[in-house]
Amino acid sequence: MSLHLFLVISMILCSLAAVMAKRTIHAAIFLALVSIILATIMFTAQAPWAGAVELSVCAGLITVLFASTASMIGRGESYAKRESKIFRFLPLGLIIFGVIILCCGDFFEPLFANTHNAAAPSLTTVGDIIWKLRTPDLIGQLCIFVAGVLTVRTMLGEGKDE
Amino acid sequence: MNSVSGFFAYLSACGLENLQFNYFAAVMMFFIGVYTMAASRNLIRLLIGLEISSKGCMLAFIAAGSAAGNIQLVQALLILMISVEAVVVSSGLILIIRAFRQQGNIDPTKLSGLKG
Repeated sequence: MSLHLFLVISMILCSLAAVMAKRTIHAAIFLALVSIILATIMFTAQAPWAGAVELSVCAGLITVLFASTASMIGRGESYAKRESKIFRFLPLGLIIFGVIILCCGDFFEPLFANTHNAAAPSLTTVGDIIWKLRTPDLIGQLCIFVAGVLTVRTMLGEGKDE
Repeated sequence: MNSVSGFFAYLSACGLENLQFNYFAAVMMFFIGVYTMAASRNLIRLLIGLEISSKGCMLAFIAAGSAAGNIQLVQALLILMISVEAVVVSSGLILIIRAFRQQGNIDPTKLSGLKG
């Protein structure tokens, strides 16, 4: 098993643990672990400056901010039971999603066809580059917009009395 | 037996230069973050989901830069991304603390009394 494979699997597992942790302080600690592993990947990829910033800002500052918020809010988290119900099925959902992505890999292949051809001389305008060369980025932006809409919908939706 | 040895050979080839594997891992992380943002009713956990999504994006960036041999550009982009992320998270946490002090909970569906 290569070091990179070990790091990536650890990062995914720590992410799962961060969102499934019952207490916010534990979630913050697992998030710090994710940052540390990502910084290690950056160091192994010969990107030491980005690794140092990731380590100091994300694993340091942001973890302290999360821990401070958790201590200020204290036991105001009365949703632990509902949260644990929701996230119980996340590992299974993740496995199903991974299998779907693996099975549909050929379907997404045309999106990445031009990505590695960065020196394409015909693509000179920004529109050409965005629509033809960087199609995966465009799809990613759409996914982020969808995630943002879901977040806003969660914030504006009516809560059910429990 | 061949399939087992082939599987282990594939595992040993899952390095930083294997773009397909890294993109797959990045999509997995992105899925975890988006699921959390969509399903959770704890504002702190929403921010944690956002963080995890951005970590997945960073992994994809690193893999793409490493495969393309242009890691310096990726480094510059990542430093910018990390600083923006820190600002977003700190602002979000401040808003959460303010909301908790006003409303007494951090359930986004129950923040109906915010004014101004």
